[in-house]
Parts: sequence; structure tokens; C-alpha cells
Amino acid sequence: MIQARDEIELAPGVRLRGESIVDPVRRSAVPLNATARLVVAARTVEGAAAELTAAGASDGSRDALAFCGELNARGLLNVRIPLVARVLRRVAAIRYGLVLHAPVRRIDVSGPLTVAGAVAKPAAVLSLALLPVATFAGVAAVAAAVATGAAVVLHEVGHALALRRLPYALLLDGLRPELIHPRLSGRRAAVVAAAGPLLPALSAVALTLAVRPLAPVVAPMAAHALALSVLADDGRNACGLS
Amino acid sequence: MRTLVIAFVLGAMAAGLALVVAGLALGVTADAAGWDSFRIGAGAVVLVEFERDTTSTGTTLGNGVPLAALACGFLNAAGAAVLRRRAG
Repeated sequence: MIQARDEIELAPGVRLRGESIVDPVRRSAVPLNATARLVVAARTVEGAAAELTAAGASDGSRDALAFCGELNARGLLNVRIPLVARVLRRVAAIRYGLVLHAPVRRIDVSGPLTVAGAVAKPAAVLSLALLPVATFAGVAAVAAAVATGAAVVLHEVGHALALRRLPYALLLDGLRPELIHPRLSGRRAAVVAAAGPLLPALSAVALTLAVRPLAPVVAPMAAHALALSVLADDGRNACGLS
Repeated sequence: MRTLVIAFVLGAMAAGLALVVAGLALGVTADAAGWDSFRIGAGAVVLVEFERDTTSTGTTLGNGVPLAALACGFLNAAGAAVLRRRAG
């Protein structure tokens, strides 16, 4: 998905300090050599490629794309691609049977409410994607599609609530949100990991017990409980297996 | 040991929460769609039972729900044990 003219910038909260990229949320520092610092200082991928070529790289464009892609995947570098360009690239790729993966986007979030606001957009897209099928199945299915999106928001809000007093940031990998935070251990790690799946699941149970006819509508929210198993990241994190 | 206990508890909770809502959702759907009485289970173990008579309907979550939750807890703990062994 990332191309030469795309703008690049260090992700919010990430800083260049000395010869390292410092991520205060993960409490980690990635050392950079002189060449890597040229890439990080550039404003576009092609700018970074030009710097690398000037520094003697045989294929500056390839190296710049690979390095920007790597930093983006780690949530350290955001890549700005205008919506129209993103759509055109997807359409162009689909002609060859390829599904392009949007770059990871890191968003600075200050609390559960900002997490809810930031996750609401991909959650709404998810609900809208389900609507065409749900519409054929009736009003309850439409409501369940909306609940599917709401459950995603509640899931991340659950994690955010459990991360109180710790720094965290939101990574959006396509429609998949993820909260990153310092490495935790013991009881705190278990609570943070379990809080995400538990909030939508317990909300679903409470709503079902309060208003029985809502049960089919909130079933997608209850399904988040399955993320507590070791088949899912949250379940493995809660058990200290990652 | 702590890992296995947490995995057991979380696995049981996951299955329990999902089964309670799924069972009640099935009952509501059966009621709305006019289904006849049915029972999901095996022998004396009943997950959910839907009953329709001339004037009313009822959905009952049976003893299968806690049993299934316990079974899922054990399965999750077993999965955790395998993952921990693989990780060394």
C-alpha cells in the first residue's frame, strides 16, 4: 500500500532522542544508525529514498519503502495516504487479485473516552459492512450489526479502563484496533487483558437479563467472551503466555 | 500452576457467558419464529430447553451450561499447558 509520494511522520508520542527512536508508551528505544536517521527525518518516502541514494544506497527507493514499512508495522511511524489514493490503490490491486493492507496508524489517546471516539470510526465501518446482509434478515439483524460495532468499542474501552494511570496508545491496523502499553506482568497483565473481552460480554449478559428480547441483538457482544480463551491474544496475555 | 488456574477460570467464564446469551437468544428467536418445543442436550445433560404450549413459551438453561463451562475451562487450561510447554 505504501508508495513513494506518501507523507511520513513519527507516530504521535514517539520522539527522536539522540540516536534512538524513543517510544514512551512501550518504554522502549530503537537505536538508529546515520542512514536510518536520514529516513526518519524525511517528510515523504521519496524524500527518504533521495537521501539514501545520496548517501550511496544502490536502490534508495526500495530501502526507504522497506524501512518505512518496518517502522510503520511497529507503530513508530505513521504514513499519510489520502482516502482517494487509498481507494484507487485498492481498486488497482484487486484487478490483480490482491487485497492491499492499509498501513498501521497510531493515534494518541488520553483516556477511555478518546479511545471510544477513535475506535468508533472503524467500528462504524464494520457495522456498515454487515448492514447489507443484515438488512435481508430483519430489524433484529440490523441491530445486531450495530451491536457488533459497539462491542468493538466496548472491548477497547475495557482495556483502557484497566490501564488507568499507565501510558497507552491506539494502533489501528485496518479495522482492527489494539491498545499498546508498557509490558505488564502478574495480576495487572491478567486484569488488563481480560477487561477488554469482559466488558462487552458482561454488558451483553446484563442487557439480556434486563430485557430478554434483546438477547439475539447483543449476542455478538457476548461472543467477545471467547477472546478470553488461549486461542486469542487477550486470553494468552491474561495467562502470561506471551 | 497460576497460568493453568487463570486459563481454567477464563475458559469457563468465556463459555459460560457465551452460552447463557446464546441460549436465551435461541429462545427469543424460537419464540418469534413460532418454532415448536425443542431440547438441546444429551441424555440427562440439557443445554437449553424451549417449550411452547397453547398460551405461553419458556426457555430454560439446563445443567449443561455449567458443565460445558467447566469442560471449556479444562480445555482452555490444557491449551495453556501445551502453549507453555512449547514456549519452553
